[in-house]
Amino acid sequence: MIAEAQISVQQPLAKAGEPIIRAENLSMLYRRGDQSVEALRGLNLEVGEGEIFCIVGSSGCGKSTFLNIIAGFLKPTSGSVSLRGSPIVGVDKRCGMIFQEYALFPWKTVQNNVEFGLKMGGMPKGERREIARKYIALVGLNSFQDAYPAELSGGMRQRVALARCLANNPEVLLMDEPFAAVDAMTRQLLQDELIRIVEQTRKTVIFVTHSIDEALLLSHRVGVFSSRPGRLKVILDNDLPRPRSSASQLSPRFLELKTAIWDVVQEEVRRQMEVMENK
Amino acid sequence: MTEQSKPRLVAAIVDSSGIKAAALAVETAHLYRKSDRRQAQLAFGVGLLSIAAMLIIWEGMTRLGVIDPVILVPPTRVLQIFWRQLVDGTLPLDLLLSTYRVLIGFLISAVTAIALGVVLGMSRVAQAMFDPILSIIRPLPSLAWIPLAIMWFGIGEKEKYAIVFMGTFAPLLVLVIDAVERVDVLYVKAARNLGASRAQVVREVILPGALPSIMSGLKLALAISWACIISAEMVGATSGLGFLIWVGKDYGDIGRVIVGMLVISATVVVIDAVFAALNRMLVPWLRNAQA
Repeated sequence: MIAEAQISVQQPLAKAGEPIIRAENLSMLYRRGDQSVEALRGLNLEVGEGEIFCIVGSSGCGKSTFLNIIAGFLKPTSGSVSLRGSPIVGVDKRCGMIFQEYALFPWKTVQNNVEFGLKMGGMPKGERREIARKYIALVGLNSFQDAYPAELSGGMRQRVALARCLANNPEVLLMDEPFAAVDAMTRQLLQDELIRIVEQTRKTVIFVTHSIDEALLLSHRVGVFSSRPGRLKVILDNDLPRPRSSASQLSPRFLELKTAIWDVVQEEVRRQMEVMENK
Repeated sequence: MTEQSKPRLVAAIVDSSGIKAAALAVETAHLYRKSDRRQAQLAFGVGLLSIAAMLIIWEGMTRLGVIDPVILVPPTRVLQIFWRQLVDGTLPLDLLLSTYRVLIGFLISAVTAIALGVVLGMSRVAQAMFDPILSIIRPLPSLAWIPLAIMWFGIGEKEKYAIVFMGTFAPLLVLVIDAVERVDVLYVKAARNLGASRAQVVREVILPGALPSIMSGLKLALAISWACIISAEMVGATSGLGFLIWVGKDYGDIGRVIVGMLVISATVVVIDAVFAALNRMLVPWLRNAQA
């Protein structure tokens, strides 16, 4: 707890720029038969335009539920999410989702996967072809446009998923443990690439991860989720200097922040284990 | 085991540097495929030998009188009958008629079962409505529909189409529903997130996602169609392969019966080849799949 004094604990308000995402008093109650599970309780958050906001927390703490509510896949039991002031009421393509399992269509080539959103929007073939090419190049997969997903490695598949999402020009990227399924080295490369691409495209990102290292490398702010029911227990301002690289993980400041986050996470993990044991 | 894991490890390392993983994987896959091909050739050779041996034994046993010609005629005699019926046009005509009946009934069944199957596979309410009906008609063997078809349509071409339709519809419908249900919801979620409407989800996700399983369902349904039509032609027809066999039986002509049976067997081989080609054409993404 030595680090505590030097860590600025933030209010859930947007830091830089206009808030683009605003979650107000979100609660989520799942009912299964006569049992009910409270996944979220009274969650408030604002994320600013161009910000990378990382969420860390133990498994089953409601992180994914939160992302699914923002994307419009789930309707919260109470509370609301708005994007640029307009509430999210159904599946909303302004919030592009990146899944841990890539979710590329196996029956479409890289090119056709990346074109998908534009095709659904009714864009003519020539035009969407060109845009897709641009994003395939952005993620460095130029020579793979005619490959099927099954022919690509995990890291390459996630790049295609990123290109597919970006080509559809969403305002916010929702990333649900996107690099959890790739090997450690590929993961580091993908993190660097994500930082570069987000800076280039100026997208807002909400990024869910298990890894505190990953959160500190990518984020402007880190939110720690409490164990069930999920709330944002602590929000930390990540003031590590940019540009960051894997070398940033060796700085004393990095360790301070990591310790501070770990203290909170640890407490929550313990609490959750106790809850499980008492059941 | 260790040999197989080596190239994979190399692929994983190269992967980290980002690029050549796929190229390498394809290369190693090619190596395995080469040995696979050699094995396939070997198996084919052995298969030919065993057929030849069977024919020689069969010919010998029947020539030497070990087997009564009332039970079995020699293969040379079968070939003779086959050739005669081929040249006088009866065999091609019967084959053509049976094929035509199968295709009409099968197409009607395929179109309706796929359309209804997609709806039922996607809607719990619709499925709950159809489930009781389906659970009654599903256990019926395809041939159990023959009497009803004859009573409804009389003996004729319509009755043949109806028998094929009735015999294949329920099993095919069940397979299509299953294929649709097994499409990963993750794809539906991704498509919706990218702005696809519900109709677009059906066209762009459900149908292509279910296609590989639907194709194997169709192959099975086509095999059932043949069983239906042969039986229907035995019961009531004046043409077709089933009729050919049945007449052979009536005349005590073993050769004719065997010719008919071998032709049916050949049609199934042709069907398999056609479906393999269709699969390569319609499901190209599974051709190079590694996983």
